[in-house]
Amino acid sequence: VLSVTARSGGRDVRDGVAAMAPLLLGFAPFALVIGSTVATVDQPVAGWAGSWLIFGGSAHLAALQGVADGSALLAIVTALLVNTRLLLYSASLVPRWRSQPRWFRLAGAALLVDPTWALAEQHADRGLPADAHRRFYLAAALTLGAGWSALVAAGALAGDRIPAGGLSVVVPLCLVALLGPRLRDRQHRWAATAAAGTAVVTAGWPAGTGILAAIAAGCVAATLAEGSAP
Amino acid sequence: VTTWLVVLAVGAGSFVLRAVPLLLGSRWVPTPRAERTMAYAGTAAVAALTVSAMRRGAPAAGEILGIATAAAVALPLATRGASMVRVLLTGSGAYVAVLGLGALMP
Repeated sequence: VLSVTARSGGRDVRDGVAAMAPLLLGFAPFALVIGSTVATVDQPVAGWAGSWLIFGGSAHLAALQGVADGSALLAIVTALLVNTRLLLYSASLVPRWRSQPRWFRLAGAALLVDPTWALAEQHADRGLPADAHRRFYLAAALTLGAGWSALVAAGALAGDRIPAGGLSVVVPLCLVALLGPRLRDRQHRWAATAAAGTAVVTAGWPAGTGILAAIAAGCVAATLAEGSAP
Repeated sequence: VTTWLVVLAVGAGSFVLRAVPLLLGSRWVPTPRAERTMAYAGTAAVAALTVSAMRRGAPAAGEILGIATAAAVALPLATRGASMVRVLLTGSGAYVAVLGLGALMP
């Protein structure tokens, strides 16, 4: 019985690592870009620590951009707004993780982000025992965390060797890649259009307050578009 | 100090966002309107950051044209769900092409 349990446990771990590996490869360019941005802040170690502490590329990048803009408050508010989707991810796992112990719900929450959530949802639907799901999820999430932080570190170390001209286009393109899938929905298109337009108009506002105005404008536009939906 | 402060605050705030529903269980139920507003705020934040990154990356007029073209070419691909690598390669190609054309002009 012990050998069967050990073998099946090992299989869960291997499945988790194998499921995450291709996703990690896909995120590699983004991690390198974040790393090169980390190299430009005044405390690169703090910037790198965000790869584990923030554990989300878009919020991490938003935080670093806010620091570059010179406003800590803007950096914190913007990054947290980018991460509000994590509330929804967490809520969607409540019924699936109801039977899991409290320590796992805490540890699992710390590692919850788009790819780990997607894999957790998919794996939980297979109806495997709770301990098998724990092993799968932790293996997948730790693979992502270790790989992600290593790639961010590599990007930070290579930061000086990446030409500034290349970075000037890569960061906006990474954000475009994150934005694109959201634009399939009409209300989100309104949110993005209003926010982008407002960000252009308010670019000269002090300490990045224009970004907050842009986010508010996006929310208002999307809500108004809901009312006019056919 | 500022970078540590930001990273720790965003990390702590993000952990709260991740953990609260899982710890409260069925007692945490957002209204549909709150769910939608949170989703819109995320989209608006990424769009505003994109504009900010484009402006910061392109101090020269020729470069803003290259970056805007790269974004315009990459956005339809991203909307259709293309991978980040493909979006980056296609957009960067457009950027290099525009800068190359600009260099050839008298």
